[in-house]
Amino acid sequence: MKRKLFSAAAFILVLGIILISLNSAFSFKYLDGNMIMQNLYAQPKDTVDVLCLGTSHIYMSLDPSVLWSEKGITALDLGGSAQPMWNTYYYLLEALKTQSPKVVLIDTYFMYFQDDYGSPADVIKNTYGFKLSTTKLDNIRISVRPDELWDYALPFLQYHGRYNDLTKNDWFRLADTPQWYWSKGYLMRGEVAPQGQPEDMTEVLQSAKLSEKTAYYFRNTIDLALESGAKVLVCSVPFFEVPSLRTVSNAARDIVESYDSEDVSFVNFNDFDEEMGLDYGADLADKQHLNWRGGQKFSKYLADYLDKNYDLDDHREDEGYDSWVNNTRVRNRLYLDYDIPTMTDPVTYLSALRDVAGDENSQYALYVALNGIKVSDLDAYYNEKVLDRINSFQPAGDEEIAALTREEAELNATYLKLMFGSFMETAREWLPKLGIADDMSKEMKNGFWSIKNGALDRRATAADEDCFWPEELSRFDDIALKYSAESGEYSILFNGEDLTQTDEGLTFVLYDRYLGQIVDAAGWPVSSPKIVHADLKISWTDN
Amino acid sequence: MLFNSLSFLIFFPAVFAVYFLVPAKYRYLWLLAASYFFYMSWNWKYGFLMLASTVTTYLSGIGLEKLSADGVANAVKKKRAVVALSFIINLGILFVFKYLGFFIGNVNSALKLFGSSASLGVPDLILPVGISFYTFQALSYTADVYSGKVAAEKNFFRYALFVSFFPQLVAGPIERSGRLLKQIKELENVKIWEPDRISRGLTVMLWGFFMKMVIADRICVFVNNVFDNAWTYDSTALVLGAVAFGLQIYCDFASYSTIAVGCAQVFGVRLMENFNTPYLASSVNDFWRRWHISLSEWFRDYLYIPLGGNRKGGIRRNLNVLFVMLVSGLWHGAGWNFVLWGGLHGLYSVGENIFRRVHGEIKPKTFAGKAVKIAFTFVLTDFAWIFFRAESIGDAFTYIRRMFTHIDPWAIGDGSIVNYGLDTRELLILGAALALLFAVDLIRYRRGKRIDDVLFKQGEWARRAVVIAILVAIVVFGAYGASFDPQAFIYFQF
Repeated sequence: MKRKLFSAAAFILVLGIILISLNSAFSFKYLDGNMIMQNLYAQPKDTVDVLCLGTSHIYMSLDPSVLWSEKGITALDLGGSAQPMWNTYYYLLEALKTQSPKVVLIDTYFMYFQDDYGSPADVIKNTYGFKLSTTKLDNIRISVRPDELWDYALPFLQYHGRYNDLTKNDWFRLADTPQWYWSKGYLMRGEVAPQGQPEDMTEVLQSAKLSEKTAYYFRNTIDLALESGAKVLVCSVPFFEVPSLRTVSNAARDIVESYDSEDVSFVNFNDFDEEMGLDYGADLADKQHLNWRGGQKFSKYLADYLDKNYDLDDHREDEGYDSWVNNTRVRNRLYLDYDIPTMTDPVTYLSALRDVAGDENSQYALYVALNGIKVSDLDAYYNEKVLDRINSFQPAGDEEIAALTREEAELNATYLKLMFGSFMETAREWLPKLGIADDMSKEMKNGFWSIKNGALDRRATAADEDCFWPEELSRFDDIALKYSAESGEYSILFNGEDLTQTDEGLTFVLYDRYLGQIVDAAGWPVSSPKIVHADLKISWTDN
Repeated sequence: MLFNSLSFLIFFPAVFAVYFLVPAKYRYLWLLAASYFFYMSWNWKYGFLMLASTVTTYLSGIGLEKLSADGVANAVKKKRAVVALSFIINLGILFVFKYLGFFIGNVNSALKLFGSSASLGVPDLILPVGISFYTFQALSYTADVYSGKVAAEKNFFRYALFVSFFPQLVAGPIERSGRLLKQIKELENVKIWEPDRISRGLTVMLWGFFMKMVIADRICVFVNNVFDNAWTYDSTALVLGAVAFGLQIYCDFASYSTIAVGCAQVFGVRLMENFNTPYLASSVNDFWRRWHISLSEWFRDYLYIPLGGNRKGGIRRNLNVLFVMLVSGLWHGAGWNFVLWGGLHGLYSVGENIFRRVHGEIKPKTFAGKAVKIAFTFVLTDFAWIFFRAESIGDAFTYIRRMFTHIDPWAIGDGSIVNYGLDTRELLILGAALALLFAVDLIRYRRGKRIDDVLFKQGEWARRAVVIAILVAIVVFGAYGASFDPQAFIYFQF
């Protein structure tokens, strides 16, 4: 009997472990939704002074690391994609279980939502991040039609069919990465979507009619925050505002004014775009969201605003706030990782590479490949490459056309010579600063180099035999330096993919070993005055 | 409630837990209450229809038994009247709810054909689930009491449970009183805690869920796409669509019976097997001995034999077969396409009978010969399924015409198959699941053993590993949940 009981228990245990593992892998991990809630649970108790609630407008525009760097303010972004106000209410309710914010900031953007229920994906994003509690169930209940309650209350019913969508992030604990471990909810975006100047809103004075459900929960959220002892700042975060959305924020303003209290205030930050130096041609990721450059400007402005208008402590010298220090460190690194792939001027680019790869503590790894230049001096290269090109223009027949073609070819050659001269000059000056000293300064040859911890780690130039140097960068990433004697090509393979960008010039591949992500793959062809970056498709979802 | 629903996931263990606790002599009352709850969860009004069927057939049994007593004048005549009354009431209910719309529609078409502008209103009645099943089961009781095969049941509630026993209520197997009612009477003697029986029952249920949720509900995406857009597809897609529907309806229907059998077994009731590897049948007659066995036997015992069966010569026998098959078609659905489907099977059977009479039965001895015979039978039955699945006879003929006129064999190899409704990954999952189904059916065919018979001969952990694998496959690859619109078991509508 004992044996049978033990055996049955073992069976249930094995089955349980398998099902729990599957549940963990299959569960939704929306970075713009339920994962943000995990950040709340990771915060030390009662450390968040400014709790920022709302939609993507909040978590893509407001960078707590800037508030920390500027004024020592501890802020947390706690939002969800297309978050209706009733979810915002429950987010606040959940946050108040562990935090006692002094200021609760509420974004108004999604108050234009007129429906009583969001789309299934938005319901999931704004409810599934909660730990199991009555608050979670209430949040689900208010978000879905009554007949759909059970479909959402049992999450596995929603996500068991994800077997086609699983990625490494589903099996790997995202929270183990520094960018998520120290995150304060901010998701930065690197894209640039240039816009013109938005319309003048000074004449837009009317207010939209909010849905009853939105207005009800908006008031409830304000009331809840006030009851907790916090002050409330209702605001519209900057974006490419249009009149119809201005009327929505006006409606929110009307409700705020109805409180007639100093503890509740309203600011439309779109009115201060000039003061914060917002450039609509460069600071927006799309019409609705700021990119990281715009986010920095807004966050700096907000830091000043909060400092002036609220009695918030500067915690930079206090103990127990390491997570904000670390978040800022990670965030600054991410800013650099986003900035480097936008640099096109060779000197600026090489200077940045020198700074990151030349620092022994930086934990960056740089890989350089040189291809297509088989002679050691400029003249020889010019003779071989450029004159050959001129001579190859030998059209038969009409002498006039032949002369014109030759003239054109010579112009091209002159241009090439200038480019190449510039390339050689800059390369000879700057590459030694990366640690590729001897090879570059004395003699240009084909080859590749890897620079780690501020020093040249490996090099191979003008090799005679095939060469293949694989290297494990992280748990998921590998790089290999490869030389084929037959083709004479030096390649850099990242996870099996050839990232060599030019067969006549230099290729740079930069890897951030601390954050475990590739930063850039760029080519600098001898005939180009600019660095050309590969589109690695790194998006905000990666950080 | 559907077997593959959250409600059933709660209902089933709850019913079993209480079944475990109630005094043995009241178990049948508990199961009766649970069965009515199960049935009325679709629509509470349905319960009254089932009750009406139960009351009439129960009273017919009592009446027949009283008329059988000595000294009743004109007993045979009166008994026949009782049987007739029971059949008329029950088939009348069935007719009103299932066939009246179809009947009126045809009358209206006839009137129109003869130039009349008059038309009858078509009643807006919802077909109660499983009405064909419990009506036939209840009528078999009347017929069995009449023929003296069983004694009339005096306890109304026991009898009511026989008609409404929830595992097999809405999609069979159609049980006979001689088996099921007898077991219901002995429910109090069932040893409740019998781990082996319960484990086997649960394993059988699990396999049923696998067939339904992993195979049938996956392949139906493919089938629906091809049949709904048949006019845009060519032969490869259409042939595969027809084959896929054959597999879908098998997995759908057999899964229900399998779950029913397993579920009943957990409660200590053994239901008859309703399917026995039908696609490994070597003739159409053999197919009907393996497909929906309980219905085939019902028609055999209560229609074919009373019509004279094979006792009145070859021509009459074949006419009887044809008639039974047409009725069987009509039983499956109120539509001419179902009648045609039944008629086609009737013709197959008659053809086989004639061929056997003229040529003698072909009994291949080689594997290849047997395989060809099985394949040929599958082609015939699968071809008939086109009429079954198509929305109308016109659609069926369009489907078949394109199958033979728009030949595109290159589509087999050019990757088009992934555009028919399931992508490569889904097709791989489906292929693996079908391979498993084929293996299970082959063991059944060769050794006559069910999946639980095979598994329970293996070592404990080997068995558990298989159970875990099937369970995980259902949990991960099964069709259920919010993003999934549950495909009602196809046979519910009959």
